[in-house]
Amino acid sequence: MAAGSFESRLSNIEELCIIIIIIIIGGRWPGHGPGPVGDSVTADTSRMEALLRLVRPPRGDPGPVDMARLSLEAAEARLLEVNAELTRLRSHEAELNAKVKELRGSKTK
Amino acid sequence: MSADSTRSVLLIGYQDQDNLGLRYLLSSVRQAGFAGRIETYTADPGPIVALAERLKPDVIGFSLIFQYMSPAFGRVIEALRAAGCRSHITIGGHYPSFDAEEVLQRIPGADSIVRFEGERTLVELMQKLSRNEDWRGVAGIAHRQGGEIVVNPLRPVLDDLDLLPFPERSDIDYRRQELPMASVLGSRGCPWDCSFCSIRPFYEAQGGKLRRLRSPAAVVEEMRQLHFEQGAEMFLFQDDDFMATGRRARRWAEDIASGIIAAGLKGRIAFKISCRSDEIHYDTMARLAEAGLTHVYMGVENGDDQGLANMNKRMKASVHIEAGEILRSLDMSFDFGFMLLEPYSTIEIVRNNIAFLDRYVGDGWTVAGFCRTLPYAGTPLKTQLEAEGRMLGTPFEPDYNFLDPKLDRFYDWMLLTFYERNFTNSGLNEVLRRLNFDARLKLPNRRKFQPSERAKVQRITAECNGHALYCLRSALDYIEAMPVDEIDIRGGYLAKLTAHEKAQERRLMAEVETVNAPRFEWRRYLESDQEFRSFGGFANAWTLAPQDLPVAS
Repeated sequence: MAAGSFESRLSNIEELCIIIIIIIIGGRWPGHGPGPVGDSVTADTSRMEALLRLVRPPRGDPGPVDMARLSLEAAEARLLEVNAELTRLRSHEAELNAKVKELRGSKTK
Repeated sequence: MSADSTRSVLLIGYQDQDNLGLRYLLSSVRQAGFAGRIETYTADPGPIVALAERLKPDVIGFSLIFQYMSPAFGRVIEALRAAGCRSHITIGGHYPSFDAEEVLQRIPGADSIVRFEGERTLVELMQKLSRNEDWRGVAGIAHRQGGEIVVNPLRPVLDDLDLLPFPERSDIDYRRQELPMASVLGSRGCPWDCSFCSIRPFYEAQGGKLRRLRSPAAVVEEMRQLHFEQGAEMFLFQDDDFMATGRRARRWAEDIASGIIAAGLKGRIAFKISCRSDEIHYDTMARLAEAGLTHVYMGVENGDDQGLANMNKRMKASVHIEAGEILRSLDMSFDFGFMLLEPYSTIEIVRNNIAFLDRYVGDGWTVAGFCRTLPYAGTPLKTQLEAEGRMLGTPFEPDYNFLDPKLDRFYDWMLLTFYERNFTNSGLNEVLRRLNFDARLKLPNRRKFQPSERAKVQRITAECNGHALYCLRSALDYIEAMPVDEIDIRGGYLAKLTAHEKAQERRLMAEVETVNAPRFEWRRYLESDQEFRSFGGFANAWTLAPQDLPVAS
């Protein structure tokens, strides 16, 4: 069991090292001939995040906001964010309903 | 005709939506045997001065539609005089009709004002000038005499509108337009006496019926000619209220619909009308829809029963909701005028208005635009505010304060936050209004929006409405709770609301760009750098000084 855990950790570290190497060299091994210039290392954060998720899977929803410690400004800002999201979701729900209606309609024809 | 065809008139004004006022004038002048042409108004006097020097018209007539534009028109007239222009310069339109003395005093280069309905007055003025007769006695004008302003008695109104020649449109090539769109007038006048409106006083001044209808046959014949001879496909009825005067108007409208169908125009054209919510009846609308009615503009104005009573609208807010449902059931696009604030608003009425907008168009069927009432010349509201000693501003840009000073703060914040959205060509309100119009437009040879595309447009509009209404509600709650002296509209929470709204608008505008409708009319407005051509005076319904207007971000 312990050996398995050690192997597993080692495997993760190795995988991480490989990922970092891939990112740094931009997917090209040394000696790569002329061709399109690859993405720069710094611009590739989204790829890095995606790859890191392989190593550290997401843990689910973020934890609840500590309401007791929220300042007025923070609460106001959070309220705006929440409302914007609600508005987006409500509108999106209506759009999806219309799509479902359209698809069901075309299926029955 | 006995007139001298070498005598000419140069008519100058905005030409959006054809400017039928000018085109009716030109056709009457030509029918009387005079020459004439129409030129688009430009704030830069250069092109107009150059044209006047070249044509040397006997009369130059300015169509002054918007009250706030008076100083700009005055500058052009001043430039004409400075360049040695000796033409008789006259001005017409709603505002100069009511405030002729004010306009003549402030624009010394103008010789006369043609007041109210101008066709016969302008013709008679030209006849007098062409014969070198004294023109100062012409009925319906105001003029200067010995340092005094003289306002002549008005002439009776023309009872039979069918006697007027069709508007002169030979210079318009509709076929070159992206959506060939012609304006038509089926009637003049409105019997309703809403406090903010000057239409009834305008036509009442000359006596006669409060609404005069052209014969349906004449209206349809004009449409037929415009379609088959000039390529017009979309018709904008510019009637003050297409459905006013109850059953008589419904029969008249249905006769027009039958005429359109009988003339073979069904399926070839589409049209738009304006009316009140309580004039939306399913059967009539269905008949009009069969003939091609695709869009309705409604003067909703207020969503609170007390607010409607303050405006003398003589209706309940629930009627607006019912009208919206009828138009939805007929798959029509619609838009509406809405005055979130009026001089007698209370915080409760404004809150109810915001809730109403959510009920009315929260689904995104159309975009929620909003402004405040302004007491324009000739309106009962202006008279009322003057009697109460509440009129502020200038004659050209009237203003007032609300009864509750907190609403002044709310309005100022609203102005800073929504000016771009509500009153610029590239603002979301205008872009979505046009996009929704296109999404439900049914014309042959035009790509129709797919259901999923329409759903996307509706979703974006619903979001646009939702964010705006949330910000309005939040600002109102905040302002109500705060002492008036501590309300900072440019800082703190209110500034955050402004930034939030603008961020949502930017995001939604980026989404609008992804709607796959490259050939549609609304895109021209996104790509246009012109300012306020189709908006006219609405832009100045906001009365902050220009330097206080928010800078586009």
